[in-house]
Amino acid sequence: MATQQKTGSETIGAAGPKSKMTLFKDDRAEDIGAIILTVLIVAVIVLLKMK
Amino acid sequence: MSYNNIVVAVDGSDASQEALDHAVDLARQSNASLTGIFIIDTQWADFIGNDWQSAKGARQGFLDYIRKEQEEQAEAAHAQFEQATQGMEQSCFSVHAGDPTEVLLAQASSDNTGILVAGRRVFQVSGRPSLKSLAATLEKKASRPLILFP
Amino acid sequence: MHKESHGFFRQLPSALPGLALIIITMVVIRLWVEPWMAHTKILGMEKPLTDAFHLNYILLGILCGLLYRNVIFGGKMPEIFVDGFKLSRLMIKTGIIMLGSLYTFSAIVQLGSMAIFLIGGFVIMTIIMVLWLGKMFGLDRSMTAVLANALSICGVSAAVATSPAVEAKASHVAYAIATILGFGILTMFISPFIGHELGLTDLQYGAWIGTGILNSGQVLAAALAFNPNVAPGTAVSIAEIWNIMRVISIPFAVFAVTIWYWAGKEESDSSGKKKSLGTLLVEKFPVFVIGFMVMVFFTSMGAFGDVGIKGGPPASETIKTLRLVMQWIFGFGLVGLGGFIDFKELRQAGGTPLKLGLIVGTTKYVLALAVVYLIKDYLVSI
Repeated sequence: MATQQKTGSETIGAAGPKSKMTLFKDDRAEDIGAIILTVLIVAVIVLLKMK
Repeated sequence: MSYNNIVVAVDGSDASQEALDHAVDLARQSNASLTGIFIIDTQWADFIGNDWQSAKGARQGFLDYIRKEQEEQAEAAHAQFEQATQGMEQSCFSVHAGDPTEVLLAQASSDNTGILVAGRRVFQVSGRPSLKSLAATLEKKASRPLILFP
Repeated sequence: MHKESHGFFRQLPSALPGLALIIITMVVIRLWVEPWMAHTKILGMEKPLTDAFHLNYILLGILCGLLYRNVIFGGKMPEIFVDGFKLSRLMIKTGIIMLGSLYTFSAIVQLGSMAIFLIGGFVIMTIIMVLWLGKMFGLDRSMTAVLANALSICGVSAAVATSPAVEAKASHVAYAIATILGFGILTMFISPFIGHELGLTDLQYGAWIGTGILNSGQVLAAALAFNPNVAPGTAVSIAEIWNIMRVISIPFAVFAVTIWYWAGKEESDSSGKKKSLGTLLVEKFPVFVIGFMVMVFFTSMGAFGDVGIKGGPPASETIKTLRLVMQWIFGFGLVGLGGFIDFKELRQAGGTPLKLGLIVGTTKYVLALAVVYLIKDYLVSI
C-alpha cells in the first residue's frame, strides 16, 4: 500500500472480486447442475438395479 | 508523541467524523502521513449462506445490490476524507475488500501503522450485526497504538 | 453439458477439502455415532439421546457444521473449506429434485392444494400483522416491506428477493436476516421435540412446520429431525411440498410488496425501478422446481417401479436405493448449512426488527400448530 501521496490521490487497492455464493456461474446454473447430478445418480441406480 | 503514519477508518457517516478530525489534527501536529481506509464488506455471501432455495437474480441480485451500496458508501467516505484533509500534503485514501474486522485488525497490527484512529461505530452504516463488536476486537487484539472514539 | 460448467469444474478441486470434511462428518455420524446412541445407557436411562432429545443424524450433522464454524474454527470457516461448504446448496437442491420420486401427481395436487390453502391464509394474516405493527413501531416502509415478505413466506430467501426492489438499506436487511435466522434455528431444534410430545402425525407435523418455520433450510432440517425416513407420507415429504409452494410464491409476493412500497412513495421516478410480474417470474423462478416436477412425472408413469404407498405393493429396489441416497445427500447438505450459521451475527441481532420478528414469528408458529391440531380429522383422511 502506498503511503506517501498527495491529497486527491486516487483510491488504491482494487475492491476485490464480487461475492458469490456458489461455485457455478449463478444460481440458475447451480439449479441446472443439480438437475444434471440427479439425472446421473438416478441413471446409475436404475442401471445397477436392472442387473 | 509523534507518528510517521496515521491510519484512520472512514465510512462516510457521522460515526467516523470525530475520529477523522482527530487523525487530521494529529497528522498536522506530527507532520505525519495520513491514510484513510474504507473496507468493502465481502462477507455478505457468507452471511446469507444459510438460504438455499433462492433463484437466479434473487440472491446474486441482492449481493450486487449490497455491493453497489457499499461502493457508494466508499465514495462518500472518500469525499469525507478529502474534505477533512484539504491542504495536506501527505495523505491518501484506500479502499480494501474483505471482512472489515479482519482487515482493520491487520491494519492495527501492521508495522507500517504508527497509530490507528477509528470511531467505535465505524462501518456499522452498511454492515452486518457482528460489526458492532469490531471496536471490542480491535481493543483486545491490536498490537499497534490505537485511539477509539465513541 | 451446459456452458457454465467450465467455471464449475475449474473450481471443483478447491472444493474437495470442504467436501471431504462434510462427507467424513456424515459417515462418522451415521456409521458410528447413531448406532452408539441407539444402544447407549446414560444415568440408567435407555437411549436417552434418541428418546428424550430426539437426536438423529440430521440434527447431529447441523450441530457439527455449527461447531466447526463457531467453536473449532473460532467463528470463521478456514479458506480451505469455504468452497466445499458452498456445495451444500447444490446437494440440497439435488436431494429435493430426487424427492420428486415420493409423489404421484394426484398426491401433489392433494397436498399442494392443502398447502396453498394454509400458506395463503397465513401469508395474508402475517402481512397484515407486519404492516400494522410496522406502523405502530414507526418502522420505515422499505424495512416493513422486507419483513412482511420474510416473515410471511420464506425467511431469508424472501428478504433477499425483496430488499433491492424496495431500496432497503444493507444494515437494516442484515438485522432482519439475523432475526429470521435466529428464530429459524430455535424453532428447528424445538419443533421435533414438541411434535413428538404432542404425538403429531407426520402429516400434521409437516404441515405445521411448513407453515410455521420461517426459513426454508430449517423447514427441511426440522422435518428430517422429526422423522429421518424418506418415504411417501413422512414429515419431509409433506414439509417439502410446503417449501416448494412457498418458493414458487416468492415472485408474486415481491411483486405485491413492491407495488405497496412504491404506491406510498411521493416521488414519481419509480418507473425505472419497478419490475413487471413477468420479469420477476423469469428472474426469480427456481429452475430446480422444474426438475422436481419432471421427477414426479416419471414416478407417476411408473419409471422406477412401485413407490410403496400405504396399503399398496412395497417399494421397488430402485426406489428404496433412491431414498437411501437422498438421506445421505440431505445429511451432507445440512452439515454444510450448519456451517453457515454464525453465532457472532445472531448474538448482535436486535432493535425493532427483532421485536417485530419475534412477535409475528411466535404468533405464526403457535397459530399454525393450533390449526393443524384443529383440522386433525381432515388431515388424517389424506
